[in-house]
Amino acid sequence: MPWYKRLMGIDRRILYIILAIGISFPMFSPMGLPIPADVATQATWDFISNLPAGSNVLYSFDLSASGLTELKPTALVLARRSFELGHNVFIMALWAEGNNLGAIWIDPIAAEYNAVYGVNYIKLGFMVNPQAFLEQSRTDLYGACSGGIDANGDPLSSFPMMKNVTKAKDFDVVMSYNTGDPGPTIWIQQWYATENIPQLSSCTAVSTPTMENYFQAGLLKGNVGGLAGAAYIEKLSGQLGTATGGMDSQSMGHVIIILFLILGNIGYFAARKAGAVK
Amino acid sequence: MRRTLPMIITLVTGLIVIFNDIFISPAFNTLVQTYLIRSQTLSIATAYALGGMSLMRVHGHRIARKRDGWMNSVVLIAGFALLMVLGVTLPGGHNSVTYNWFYQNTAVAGGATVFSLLCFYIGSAAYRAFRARSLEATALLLSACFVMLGGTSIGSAISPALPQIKVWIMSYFNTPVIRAVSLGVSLGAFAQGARNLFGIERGYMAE
Repeated sequence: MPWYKRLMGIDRRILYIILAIGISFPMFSPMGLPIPADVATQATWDFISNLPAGSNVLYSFDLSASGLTELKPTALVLARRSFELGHNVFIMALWAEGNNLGAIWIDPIAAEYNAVYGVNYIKLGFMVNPQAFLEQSRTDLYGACSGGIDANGDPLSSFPMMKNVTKAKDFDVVMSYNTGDPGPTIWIQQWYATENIPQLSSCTAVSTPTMENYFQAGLLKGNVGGLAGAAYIEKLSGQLGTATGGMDSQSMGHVIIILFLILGNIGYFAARKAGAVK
Repeated sequence: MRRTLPMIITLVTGLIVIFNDIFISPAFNTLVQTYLIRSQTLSIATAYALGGMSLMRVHGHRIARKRDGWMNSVVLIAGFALLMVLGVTLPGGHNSVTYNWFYQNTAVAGGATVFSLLCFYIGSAAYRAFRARSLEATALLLSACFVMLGGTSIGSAISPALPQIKVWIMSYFNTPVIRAVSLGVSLGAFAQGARNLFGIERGYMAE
């Protein structure tokens, strides 16, 4: 077989092995590459950091486990920031999986900061019908939350931090950790367009182009896009974690794919010159 | 009547929801929230239950008839039953420590693993498909390489210009296209909504 055909048809298993080694290598031997700055991530950090103590911050986990690597670091950083600044933290989910993930991630951080459930933070639970929740909660948050109960089934009216929070307007910002729809799009349609509640987002890399579009239009006040955004927010917070470590692996993965693209195209042009392909 | 009644219900409920946002009246708002939105939530909850039952039925048949991959169906039904029983019976339900332990070590780990496999598939597909066959394909190939490099740490390490090129591509090419697509989709959704409302589109009646 001519050399150019070999370049064009490298066995996928070889590619998989090289990718696996390349991605794993930095996990054992970090390369410490620089984290690129990102305007939308900076805006997110600044927005949360500038909220005064007592602000009502709603973190909505509109995600599935597929977004764990990219979204968890941001969720941890911002939850710590909110507890540090004395915000009232509200947790909820428009996705069933997000309900548990949000609780699993945030509960230990609340314990770190001695936050008291119902006083400093509360879990509003999973909203089975996102559109209905967003519509109803504009004027009646209690009714929209499964008829007035929290994630544990206790009445919302029994918690001190819920006394002055009865409708969408009572929130100072919404942060949606999202891996798809329902996510920031319906939050913007329902809570920003009608109630003018500032919106933030933390999304996977594949959703970043759409969220960047919202950010540039001013519909989102900030967006943490993919692992790069998560690594940058870790850098801003000074709490380097899994996203920062993951950036080296991601870099290696991208470089390997680009090298294979180059090899494939060298083979293609050589084959075209030899008249083997059109 | 089979046709007219659903069309009337669609038109009336649709107009009520639209008017709710146009004429802000507490009484009207209560009506919408108490009856319409709650019934919509109940419909969705019922759909979840139906989905669960349908899943059990399909996979139960597969196991009973020992069709290809029936062992996978056993795992699915076992996982489904385990998490459902734990969620219903444990104190604290789906928020209990035991439930979350199972959840994190099955659904979460599995979901994250499957998603991370995408890296290998995308790498392989890109290597096979991305050839500079035409001007358009070359533009796509180059912009993909710049965005991939510009969005990672190694891009910044190679040259500070790479992240800037990435931002330029995203701002001046990606954003306008996304906006055009969003606008088209929104107009399409609006037209589809109007067709449903006025009974021109009757697909929801299984016609």
